[in-house]
Amino acid sequence: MKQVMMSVVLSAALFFTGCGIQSIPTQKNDVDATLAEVSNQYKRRMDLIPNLVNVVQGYAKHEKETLTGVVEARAKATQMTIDPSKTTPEQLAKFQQAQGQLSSALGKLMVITENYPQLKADANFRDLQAQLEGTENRITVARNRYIQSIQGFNNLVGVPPTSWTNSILYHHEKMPQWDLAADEKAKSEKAPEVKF
Amino acid sequence: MLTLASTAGAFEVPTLTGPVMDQAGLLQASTLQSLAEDIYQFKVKTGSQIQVLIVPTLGDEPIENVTIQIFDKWKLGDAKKDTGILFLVAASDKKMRIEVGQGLEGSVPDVIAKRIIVEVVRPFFQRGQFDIGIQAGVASIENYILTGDESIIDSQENAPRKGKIPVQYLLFGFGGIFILLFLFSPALALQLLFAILSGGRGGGRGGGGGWSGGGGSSSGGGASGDW
Repeated sequence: MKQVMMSVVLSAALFFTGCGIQSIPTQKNDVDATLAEVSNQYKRRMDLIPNLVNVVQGYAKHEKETLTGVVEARAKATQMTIDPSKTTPEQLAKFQQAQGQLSSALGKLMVITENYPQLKADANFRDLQAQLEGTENRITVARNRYIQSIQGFNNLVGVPPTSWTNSILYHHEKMPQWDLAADEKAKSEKAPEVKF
Repeated sequence: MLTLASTAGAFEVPTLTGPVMDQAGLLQASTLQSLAEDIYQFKVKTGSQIQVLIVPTLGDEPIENVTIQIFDKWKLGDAKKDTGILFLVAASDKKMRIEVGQGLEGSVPDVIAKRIIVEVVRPFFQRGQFDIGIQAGVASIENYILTGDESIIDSQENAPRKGKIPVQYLLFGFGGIFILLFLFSPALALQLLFAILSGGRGGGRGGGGGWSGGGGSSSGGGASGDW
């Protein structure tokens, strides 16, 4: 009797662990959380830009076009916010595009700073540059984690046996993957990384 | 899972063996020993885990990719507070990076990490004084942690007080908790069950003197530099 009970308990447990009843919502939350982190880090970058523009302006007044480019790209990106738990693929694509344009404008700005030795020696500028580098790296890390999380979610939703549970209970669709190609495109417009 | 990180695999993350790992033979044995002792004491005192790793080369990978891989694998620092910090030096690439766990970003922000690299460590490295450079780097990291955000330092005062509860209540409570756990997370419940059934032979984690990550993570903060 005891053995029968034991085996019933064990097989029920195995059924529940493998079927996705728990793992699908968990993974969905993880996707939302990692996307929130991506959006946080992009926001962190946007917060740095006004100071950066100010410092650069002090030394490189003639670079008006590039500076305006950054300010405008930032303004556009600020309008494009996302709510991680209810983001549509279109919103995400727009968000990504706005941030990509900002990346490219920032890249151009960092290139021109090379021509201003006094600017590069400015302590304030160095600090901002360190923060910007750190933030760009955080964006990369957050993005990679988001991509992995989406991959995990799509596997749960698309691969049996968990996909069966999904079609019975949750009815989640596969999520669109973060478009790395678009990021690469923005990056290629961006000039080589600035080192001092 | 990592297939998307295109060039993954070029750098092999080594096994964590101690607070100071010098695979490039840059440090003298005495420095290595005293630094390791210092870092160990610092972890006991503050709960923050500093890790020094010196590798011969990064392969073709950017140093930022390498440090995050190491951090993800070693899980430096406390799991809840993320108080880990990794100081990676690549000897032949002449590159270094201080990767800061999320919980220490307040004490060692990117700007500070960059200053430690550029103003403290780099001048020594440029003169080939690696022992002093690394010691000075670690010392200033410790200094910033100590003078920075107070809330991350472990305090012993928060330990909960325990009253006396009758044994049968405890048993009921435990059974109830187990059933609840089983309903919500069967996998965990099973693990727990097996752990209890196979009790005794497993034992806890390594005893005193052991060095391992505590489950901390980094979100990519810190700074990189060269010499």
